[in-house]
Amino acid sequence: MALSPRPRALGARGLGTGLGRPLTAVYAVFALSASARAGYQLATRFDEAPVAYLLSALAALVYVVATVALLRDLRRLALAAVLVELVGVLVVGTLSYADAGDPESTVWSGYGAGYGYVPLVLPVLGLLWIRRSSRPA
Amino acid sequence: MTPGLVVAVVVLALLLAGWAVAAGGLGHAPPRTLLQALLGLQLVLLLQLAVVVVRLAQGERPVETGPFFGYLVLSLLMLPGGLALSVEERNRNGTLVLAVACLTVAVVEWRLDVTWR
Repeated sequence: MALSPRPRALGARGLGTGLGRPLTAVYAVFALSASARAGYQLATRFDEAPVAYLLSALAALVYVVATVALLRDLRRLALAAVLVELVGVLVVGTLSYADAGDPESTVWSGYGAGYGYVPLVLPVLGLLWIRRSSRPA
Repeated sequence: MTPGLVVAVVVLALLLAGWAVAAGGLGHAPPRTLLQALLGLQLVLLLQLAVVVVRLAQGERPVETGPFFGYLVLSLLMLPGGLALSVEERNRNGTLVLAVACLTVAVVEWRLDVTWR
């Protein structure tokens, strides 16, 4: 990938356009629901499990950043957000099985089992899309 | 929640999602009839809001207050949001955006029912 501010091949379309638009819609749904969930947890039950609820807030932030980056065609930001998302769902998913804590504490717990495993599939689709849309159409 | 209303919303939302997936898969921009059906679904969701307001006024309360009202707000935002994201894509991708919105309405409606009881 070239180090230009917008490493996009000639003829390639914006990240949030074409097939990227439905993908962005899914990200927007997760940005909304994860933010609402994290906001509620931090406001009402922060003392119960501060680490889990801060992770929940991080997940929300990642989805918000990814949504905005996709819509605004900010490729490097989108790539960073989706990579953090992938690492997050894998690490948090593994930890949640390991210590059998509250399985519902974050979007990423149980590899996203509470959300039909969409959080596990979404970053993979995101990475594939970022790669594909960086090449000429 | 009112069982009939919940079933109606979930079934309608899933049907419209299936319709949108089919139309998008065939390469169609959002058909006008689909948009009208989405308006119908949104009206049912507004009716549901009215039902909730009445039941709250009668002293009923959801089991999980915070999440319930969160889902209630989300339920009303999904279709307008999906429409906003789809207008710039007057092609198959716009139709698929509407499918995502409809699927989300079905899930949110299910959560709405769970958090009320």
